[in-house]
Amino acid sequence: MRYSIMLQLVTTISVIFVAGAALFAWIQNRQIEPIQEMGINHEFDRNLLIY
Amino acid sequence: MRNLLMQNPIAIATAWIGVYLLIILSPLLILLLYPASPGRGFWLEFSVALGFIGLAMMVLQFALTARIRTIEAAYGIDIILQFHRYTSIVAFLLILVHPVILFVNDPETLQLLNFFEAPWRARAAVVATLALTLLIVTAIWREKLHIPYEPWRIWHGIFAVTAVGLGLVHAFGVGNYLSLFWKSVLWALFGLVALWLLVFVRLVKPWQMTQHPYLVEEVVPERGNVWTLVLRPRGHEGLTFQSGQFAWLTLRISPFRMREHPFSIASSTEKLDCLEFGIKSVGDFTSRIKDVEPGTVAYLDGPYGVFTIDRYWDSAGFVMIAGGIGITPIMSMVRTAADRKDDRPFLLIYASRSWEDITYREDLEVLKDKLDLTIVHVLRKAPDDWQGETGYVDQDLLERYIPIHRGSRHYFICAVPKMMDQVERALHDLNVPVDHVHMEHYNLV
Ligand SMILES: Cc1cc2nc3c(=O)[nH]c(=O)nc-3n(C[C@H](O)[C@H](O)[C@H](O)COP(=O)(O)OP(=O)(O)OC[C@H]3O[C@@H](n4cnc5c(N)ncnc54)[C@H](O)[C@@H]3O)c2cc1C
Repeated sequence: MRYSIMLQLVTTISVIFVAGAALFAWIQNRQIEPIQEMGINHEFDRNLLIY
Repeated sequence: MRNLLMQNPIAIATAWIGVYLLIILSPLLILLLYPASPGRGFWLEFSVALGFIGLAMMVLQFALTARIRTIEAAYGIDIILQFHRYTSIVAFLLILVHPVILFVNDPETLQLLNFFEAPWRARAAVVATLALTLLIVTAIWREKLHIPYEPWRIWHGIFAVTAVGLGLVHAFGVGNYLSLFWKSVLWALFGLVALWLLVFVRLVKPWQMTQHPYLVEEVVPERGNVWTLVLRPRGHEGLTFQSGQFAWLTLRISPFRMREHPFSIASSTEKLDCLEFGIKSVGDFTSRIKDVEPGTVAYLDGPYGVFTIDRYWDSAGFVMIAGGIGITPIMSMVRTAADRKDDRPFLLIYASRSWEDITYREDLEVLKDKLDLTIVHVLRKAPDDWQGETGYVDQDLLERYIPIHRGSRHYFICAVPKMMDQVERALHDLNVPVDHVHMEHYNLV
């Protein structure tokens, strides 16, 4: 039973992490909208360079 | 307030979880201090964030498993290892989703999987992910894959170091966000902490153990295929422990080889000149205990564990439920209580295979004279003239013996996993408060 409490806890923590990541992505993206005028190909190249 | 934080298990848990969340989310929080980088899109940022969270979770696994006493003392090693297992799976999933989002969002990035042509930072990520996959598979299915514990433990360490080391190399290599000063400071700190924990576990701790050797005093046969191993500290005071705690035992070999086994201390806390362990022969290591010669060198890492009556000074009494070798920590508790002239009632429900197999049967009888101790033996194979309990420790049996005022006692269960689960559920159904039930799991892995 203690393990099922733990499972619920870890599920909650995971949801917080995923929500946190989504919030982070949204905040990062929202601020840059006004200057987001890049061409798609350009962006692809840049991502490839980054990774 | 301080008292609440120190003693209330829910407050302690909340505080620890808060710290955990904060540490893991700190790489993202720090980034919010900087102006956002332009035009990367939601999915790319989301993927990077998941990668950072997964990596931070993996780094923290080193802290969870380093047997740090302050962490361990809050909940006990079994609960922490269970948390370690669950969160490792979550971290693994986040780390897997991280590139998948990239590939879906931008299929050209699939080229990064071409190991021979990809930049080294991408190769590091591929190898780290492979190591992590092997780590997870071998941990979940160790028994099904018939991997013995000791080689598994060595490989578990190698996979973990590879996954986290190369994960950090990947993060620094990509360098996109890590070129930001505070961000790189934070990740460097994460890396250094992981490295320190590794050095601490592999070198510092074993070295400390070599400074506190023990000698085997004697090995005494007990009922039920169990041997009592008596250790005497050599050139030091020995360890002080709370009754019911356990220690990791290294026998004959150097502690640097990291081949240690956990055993509950079975002797009284009041008798520090010698420590006793009751060891049941079940496998490689334990079946050789009977042949250990007096004078053999031993090392201990401990004490650990929260399975102890010493934390419940105010309890009106105790209910102990043992199955087989699960009697050892309980033996320490009742022996200690007898030595301390504890006048509270102790009820011991003790399941064994047969009358002949009851480990410490005679010792327990002697303790009845020194302590308010009631013993209910439950036998699976009872002799024909047996008047006592037989079968399994189930709800009906428990209901017959435990006090009506359930919350007036603390309950300690140590047995094989199946029995522990059954007893825990039965106690719950009998309205025993959840925070009054304490368990020691012998199957950590
Ligand atoms: C907190 C705790 C207290 C324990 N107290 C006692 C006790 O008082 N008396 C007693 O007889 N047993 C005790 N055990 C169990 C004991 O540690 C194992 O039975 C022993 O390590 C088995 O080793 P083996 O090589 O003989 O058997 P194996 O056949 O190699 O192992 C049997 C199983 O024991 C576990 N195990 C093996 N080696 C280790 C290890 N190095 N570390 C952790 N787990 C391992 C694994 O799950 C393995 O599958 C305790 C376990 C824990 C976790």
